Amino acid sequence: MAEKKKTGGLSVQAVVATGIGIAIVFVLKRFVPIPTGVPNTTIDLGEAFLAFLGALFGPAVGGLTAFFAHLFTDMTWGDPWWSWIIADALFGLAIGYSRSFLKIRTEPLTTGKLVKFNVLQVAANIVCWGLIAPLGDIWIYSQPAGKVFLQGVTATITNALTIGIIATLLLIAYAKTQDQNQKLTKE
Amino acid sequence: MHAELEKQGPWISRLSGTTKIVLLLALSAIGMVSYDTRYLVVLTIFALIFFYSARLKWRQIKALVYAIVGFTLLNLVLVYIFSPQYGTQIYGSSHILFGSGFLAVTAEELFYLLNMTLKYIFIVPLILAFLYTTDPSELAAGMNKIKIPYKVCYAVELSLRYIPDFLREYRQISFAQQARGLEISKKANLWQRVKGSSQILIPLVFSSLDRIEVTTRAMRLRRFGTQKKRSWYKAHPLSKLDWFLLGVTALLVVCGIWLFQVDQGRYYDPF
Repeated sequence: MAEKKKTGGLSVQAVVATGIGIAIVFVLKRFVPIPTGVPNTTIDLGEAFLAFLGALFGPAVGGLTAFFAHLFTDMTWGDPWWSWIIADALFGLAIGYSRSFLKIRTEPLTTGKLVKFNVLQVAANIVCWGLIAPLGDIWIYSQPAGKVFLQGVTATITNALTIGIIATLLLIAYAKTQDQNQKLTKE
Repeated sequence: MHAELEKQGPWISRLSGTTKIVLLLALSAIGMVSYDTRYLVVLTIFALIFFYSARLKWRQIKALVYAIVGFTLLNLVLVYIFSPQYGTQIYGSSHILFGSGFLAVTAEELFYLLNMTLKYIFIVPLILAFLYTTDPSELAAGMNKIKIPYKVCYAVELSLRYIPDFLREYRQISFAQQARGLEISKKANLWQRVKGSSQILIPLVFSSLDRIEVTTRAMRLRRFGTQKKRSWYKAHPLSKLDWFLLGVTALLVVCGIWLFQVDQGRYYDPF
């Protein structure tokens, strides 16, 4: 632990979590998207895993994972769409702050914490996909407002629902494995 | 040995990772902002040079090209339906070609849509070329060279290493679940697909958490992250070709910025 502070930056675990996080979010985003009917917006399990990862490892891992996973996904479609990449990175950063109140590794998971997590994720979704991404599209790419807000609102709703259901389930499943560990150490 | 390897293959695969990253970032940034048709055409041609030198086979990129064409068309239609008079708004004039009322097709709107299409596709050839000719390790070394912290570069390299693994794992779990009667193909409805996919997600997530633990331990044992700097096996100094292309890119970016002055804004207005 002491050696971590000497060089600063990410811990070894954060580096590995980011690397593996990018790989999984990329695979989920690229190969498992479920179309919603609105162009370029899909039900994205990658976002659910990203929220879970952020809740476990914090803002730096969340932000970096979101940025690179989104960048790589866009690249394999041939075109990085920067306004959405930046929005995604900010979302990963924001959701990472849930680590500080969830404390899922050391304390039991309560309903109250899950509610807090979901309030945070819905708020972050609204700000990132409902505001930052469409505004970026308008300012950077000069796209008409009606179209980008339709995409933004669709993304907000699908992401909020996907994360609300799947990331919450993942957190509960993970908390169960952690609780057992604690009981073992207590004895 | 290294020099021998370098001589093989088209010149694009000999470019340094640094050059590729800088090129990609610079061009995509300037192409993202500019709406000057002439400039975007020049960028497209520049990108096509790389594409040509990568000598990709049509079957390698066929599916991707179709998907991109589909996406672009869908976007164009959507933009048009939402604001058919957006071009008029931007260029401040209106030449109606046919139709009338709200959906009247104006020359300005078509010109705006042409520009938008160019913005969508100009970088595609460049990215396709780089995707098939870049060594992942070289990418990390290149990122580190433009002052991105080495831990971030290493995370990216790690991710590229694990993508094929997780893809295989995802497919294995998916087949196993499908063999047990889980329907996740297009035939199932939306809710079933979401439910089915998340049933694949849980085993994938827990195996990935295990892998994070194992890899972290292995890297700690090798004293990863104890030094301020790190050297890269694949790092090599920039060649003349690298510097030449970096120069051309800088010139293009300066040109793009100069055009903002000439056009008095981001749009080139022929009307």
